[in-house]
Amino acid sequence: MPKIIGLVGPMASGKGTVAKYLAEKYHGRVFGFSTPLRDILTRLHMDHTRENMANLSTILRQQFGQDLISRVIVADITEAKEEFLILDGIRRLSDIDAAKTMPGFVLWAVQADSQTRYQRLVRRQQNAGDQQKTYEQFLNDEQSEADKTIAAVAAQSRIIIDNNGDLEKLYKKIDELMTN
Amino acid sequence: MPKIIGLVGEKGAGKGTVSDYLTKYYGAEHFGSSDILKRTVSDLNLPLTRDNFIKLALVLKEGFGATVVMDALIEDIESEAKGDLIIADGIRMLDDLKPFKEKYGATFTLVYVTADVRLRYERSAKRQEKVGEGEMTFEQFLAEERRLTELSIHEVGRQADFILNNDGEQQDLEKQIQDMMEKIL
Repeated sequence: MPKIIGLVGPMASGKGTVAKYLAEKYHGRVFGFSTPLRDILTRLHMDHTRENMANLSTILRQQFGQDLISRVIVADITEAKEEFLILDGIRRLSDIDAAKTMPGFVLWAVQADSQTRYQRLVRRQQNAGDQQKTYEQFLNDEQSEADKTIAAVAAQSRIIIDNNGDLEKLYKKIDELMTN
Repeated sequence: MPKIIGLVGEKGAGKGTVSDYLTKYYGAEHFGSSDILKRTVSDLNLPLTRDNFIKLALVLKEGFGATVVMDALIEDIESEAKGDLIIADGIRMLDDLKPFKEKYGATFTLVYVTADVRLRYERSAKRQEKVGEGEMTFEQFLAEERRLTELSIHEVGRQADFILNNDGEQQDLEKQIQDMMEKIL
């Protein structure tokens, strides 16, 4: 039975960094909830903005069922051959419900202060349009349909990773969790 | 400047046959909106039915504007096409037509492939291109034909530069294609 770590956390809390570290050091394969959406936007030649991803997710789930994306991810994971899998970017309650049905699943919540996260967001290049955001727009984004349930999902986790410090501290914390 | 042939036609009318003929004898390259929709439906782990393709196209248009799928198809053509003759397949609505006319003007030709409904039913029952096509009765086929998304095909067909009637044998269709291509090229 493969071990599956699910990651939840607000924007720019460091989920991607945790996922990358786990994948590299512990030989895991990363699956992202946004991957199917990003693939579709690429096929439609559209920018990977938060707005486009949220809009796409909403219309697809309205038409094909609220649990559409989580069913896709669960199917992909079930077919995976690796022993260690990382499921990044869980944001909806229906997503966590679907993820919890997989044996070997544990949820980790990654947290950091909003000022720290804002600074990180404008510095990185992950999504088109993030670099120009003001702090107010950033706080506003967190109330959007796609983001407002993140806290409720995180509340279901018994493992909380504080990522207000530097990378060294974060990696040390991950190593501790992995040895337990 | 490459020539673009837009294909419109009802289910089982023979768009695929026309497209194959143009590819084989005129070196045309095929680009279809159904490829975009098919890959997306498959990525979403949903059954590859005509119904799902139509549903997907409708919500994408609702969410991102009426021309979203055709704009993507044009982008595919612009970035991948190598030759002088390009087939743009899967035009179904008037909104689908607009981006092609705007982008390609006089180098765009709209071709309507049509056939008698009974013949089309028999052909699509035989080929089973999409999931569920084999089991449909003639009555179910007729009921699908009356859906808005199918009726719009006739409407687009009325704007066609050429009409290919596929009620006869393959040879008759091929002769019509040859005559048409003499005028286009």
